Amino acid sequence: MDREDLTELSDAGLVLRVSRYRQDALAEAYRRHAGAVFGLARRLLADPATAEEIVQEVFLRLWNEPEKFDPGRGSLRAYLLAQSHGRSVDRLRADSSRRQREERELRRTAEGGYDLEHEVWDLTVAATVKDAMVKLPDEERTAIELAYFGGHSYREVAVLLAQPEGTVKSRIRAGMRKMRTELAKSGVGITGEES
Amino acid sequence: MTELSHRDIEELLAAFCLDAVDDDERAAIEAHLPACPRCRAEVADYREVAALLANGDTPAPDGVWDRIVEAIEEEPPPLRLQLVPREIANDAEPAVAPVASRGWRSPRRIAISALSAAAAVAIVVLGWQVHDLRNHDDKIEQQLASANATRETLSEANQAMLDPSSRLARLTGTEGQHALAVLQQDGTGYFLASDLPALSSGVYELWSANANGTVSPLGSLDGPGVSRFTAGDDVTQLMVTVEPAFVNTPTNNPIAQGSVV
Repeated sequence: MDREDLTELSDAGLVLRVSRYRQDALAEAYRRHAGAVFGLARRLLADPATAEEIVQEVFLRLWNEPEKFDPGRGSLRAYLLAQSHGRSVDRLRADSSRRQREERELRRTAEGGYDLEHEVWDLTVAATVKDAMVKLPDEERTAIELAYFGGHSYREVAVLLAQPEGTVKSRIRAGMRKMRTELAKSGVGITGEES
Repeated sequence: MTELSHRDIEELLAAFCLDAVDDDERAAIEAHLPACPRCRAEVADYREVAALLANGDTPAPDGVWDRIVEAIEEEPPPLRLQLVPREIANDAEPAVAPVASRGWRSPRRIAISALSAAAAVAIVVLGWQVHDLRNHDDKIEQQLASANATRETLSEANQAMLDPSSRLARLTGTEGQHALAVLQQDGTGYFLASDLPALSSGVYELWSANANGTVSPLGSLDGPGVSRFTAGDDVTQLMVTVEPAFVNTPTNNPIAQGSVV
């Protein structure tokens, strides 16, 4: 009965099989998404060993609590990456060396600009995503990048950029909304409905 | 928890999806989302955007998969009944997911969708009761595994749970024992007793009682597990005793009992 070709199956179909303890379905989900889950964690944490721990935790959680993924609320990849990001940020925030990191970053910022171009473009981001990012005003892009790839809260981003918190919060929101609209136009699987 | 207006929350949703809000803001948003489809949709979109930002073709790290498999095989997941979202269940599959156990020696999970309200309540109760139970006796596992029938029984019990005309009984004991029974209109019942303590000897025997106090044996299990039984439609009460072997009259006091509702 397990002869079906899982590589042709939707992510939601895979998760259903995971919920029935099909280890081969978990393996296929891993094959599809573990690289991205790892890449994001490593990007935030720098330490590959900790990033590997995150990958392990994320897929074990999928195994143990597959019902937490609701396909009505988005893709499996987005779900797994949100897990990876949340866990990575938790690690960062628990890290005692965090102060030093912040101070270092503050210094870099003060010295004439966080090297955001480099930080972002060394990622292999799909061309459409790059295009959408490029179209964002610098201040919106910077705020999103510091939050998402730097693991900073918007309040911390405000400190890093010497901007009011409310302004940073608005920029993150404005930038994400524009990204959503742009990516929806490019047909990458976002509804893009304005609320 | 921070009090935030709907507007405040909307303002924060994008930052929330980037894990860039404070703990108390996050708690306020998480409390708000279940009641607000509009904000949930926005969160879903932002998460997709974030996923696209993250999207890199990093190869999966070597060795991690092996560690995952090792962890899976070392620590069985908790015994529980659980809900599978309708969207998943409908994915070219029957709505009721049969219990599968590839990689496992015993089936432990019943996937249920489209529950009747009564059954849903019962499942939630049972889910709570059996949550995180990790006591697994090897001997019993082997017995369960060797009986493919158990798997079928669980699948049938699953169907019975979905039947709105089924009656349910929560059996509880003074020492925290608990089990569930589901009784269909045709008299077929399922005794879900995976959560009872293992027995060093003897059997668990299930009994029915009707309004007149007539007690009848329904069957026995030689440890925690699941079994099918047949009962009359006048059953009002179910009980479990521990007996040296299957007997026709109980010789011990019930360790757990409950009304059929």
